[in-house]
Amino acid sequence: MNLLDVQNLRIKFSTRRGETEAVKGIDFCIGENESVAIVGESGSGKTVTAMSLTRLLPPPPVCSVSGKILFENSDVAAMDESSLRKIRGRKIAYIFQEPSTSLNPVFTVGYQIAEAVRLHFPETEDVRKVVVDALAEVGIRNPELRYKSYPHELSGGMQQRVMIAMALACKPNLLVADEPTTALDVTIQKQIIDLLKSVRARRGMSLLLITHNFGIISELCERVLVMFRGKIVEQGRCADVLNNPQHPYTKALIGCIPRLGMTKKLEPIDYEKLGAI
Amino acid sequence: MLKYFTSRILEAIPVFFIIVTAVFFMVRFVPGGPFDKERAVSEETLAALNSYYGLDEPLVVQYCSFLKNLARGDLGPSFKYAGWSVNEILREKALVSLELGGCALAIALVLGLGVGFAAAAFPSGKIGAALSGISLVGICLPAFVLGPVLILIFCLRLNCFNAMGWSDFPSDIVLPAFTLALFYAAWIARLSRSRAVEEKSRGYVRTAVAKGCGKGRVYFVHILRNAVEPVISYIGPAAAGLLSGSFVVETIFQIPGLGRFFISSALDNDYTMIMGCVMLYSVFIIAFNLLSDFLLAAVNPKIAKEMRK
Repeated sequence: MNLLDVQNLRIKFSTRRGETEAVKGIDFCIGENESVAIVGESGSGKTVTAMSLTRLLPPPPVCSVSGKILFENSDVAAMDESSLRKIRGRKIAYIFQEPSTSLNPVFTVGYQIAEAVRLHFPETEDVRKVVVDALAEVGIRNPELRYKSYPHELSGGMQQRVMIAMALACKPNLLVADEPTTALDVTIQKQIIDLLKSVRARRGMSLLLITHNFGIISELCERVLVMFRGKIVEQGRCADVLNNPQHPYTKALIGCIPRLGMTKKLEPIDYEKLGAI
Repeated sequence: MLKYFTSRILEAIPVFFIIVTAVFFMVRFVPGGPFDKERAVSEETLAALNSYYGLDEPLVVQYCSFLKNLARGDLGPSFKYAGWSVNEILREKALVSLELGGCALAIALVLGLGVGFAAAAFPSGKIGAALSGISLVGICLPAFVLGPVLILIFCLRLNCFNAMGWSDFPSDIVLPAFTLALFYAAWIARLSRSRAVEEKSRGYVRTAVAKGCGKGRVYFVHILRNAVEPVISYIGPAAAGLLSGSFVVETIFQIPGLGRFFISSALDNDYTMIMGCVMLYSVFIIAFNLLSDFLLAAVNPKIAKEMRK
């Protein structure tokens, strides 16, 4: 049985200039302990797909979602608000792209992590210890001291670690990481990827990684889905897709990756040629 | 933090003296004097009055003796109200204005924040539009319209309050305090609404929802704490204005407060009274701005950090 099974997912946005379909009927699944990546360019629908998994998108009429999102065999798309709250954070946790804006500036990071723990495990006696352990797990030195820090007192990399600690504190079954390293510089990116890798190795949880960076995918994921204009155009094992892409868009996307010692000019994606797809 | 506020208080002292000095000389350069009446006063009487109050001496000498008295806390006699010292008038009238202004401030805060945050909770619905509309009316409606309308409705038609008077009944404060508060309440409502709507689209709100917070928790705990900032900055100067009395409201409701003296002392060229009113108002402005900065630091740790630098 799959942990997550998405069937015929369609996401529409109504704007003043009419409707746009951001996701046009996609199907995919994630197994227990499996790690899956969704790649695609900006606007391909990968982030809204991730947001729709716990209905984080704006409510209708702005945005309407149809299709089935089966998580542990219950349909998230049809769930009532209170059952949904028990899944958010507890079963499916998120890490977002911009750690600096994703944390509330007026509360200490310790409080913000503790809030998640209190919401889902109200019977916990020593919440503080759980939080400090979570901070320590993501490699924050002096977790006792950092508990009382405000987000603005931490660097971007540290803030993202706090976000990861918050996501992990409730031991979720699925971690959704929406471009977790895009806002960080390269050395910090590497640290965050290594951290996610080691957490997964230790805990064994499923991961859905949203990214446009092929380098991260091969490090972290087993399977990859390529999204283009709201559709999944190709999917398969990471190594297969990266080494032997079938779809012209995937080929074009992989053709854009610079490599060390490369002498050929990078090819921009020719959308005219892809237009018919 | 303590260092920051000590330095702010020390900065306020020269500001205060610049205001006092400027006003001292400005009022004396205004044509006319405190004893110019419609009925001409004889030369001898005028000379006697001027020498009694020390107005015949050179300005610099007057200024020095003013400062000397100020250091002792003595603001001198009122020129207009013979037998009264400015200290006595301020003490008696300011208490009335403080009481009225304090009530009005409380009403403005409760009403303003309530309406503003309720409107922000339903930004696109009819309730939100209605609440925003009401607050716009509140800003546009001047006290000299609102006051008489309230008197008409609540005193003459419904007979619940006295139309005017002060301290006869405890309920006398209700209508004037509300009249005074409405404009401020409306401003606070608009400030808090627009900021709360803005805060709703921030990333941390999405994080809070994603970790399982309910709607109420997201709004009351996460958003509102961030949305009170502009209100706090606003209530500094607003509190100074409210607590120092209002000419219009005190005149409409016949309240023996300080507000009327701000206008009448200037019209009467009552030099010492003008100085008293100006000094009281500047102390209020300085003190309440300091207080609102202190509150801002308490609400937002980022601002507190900047102050510590």
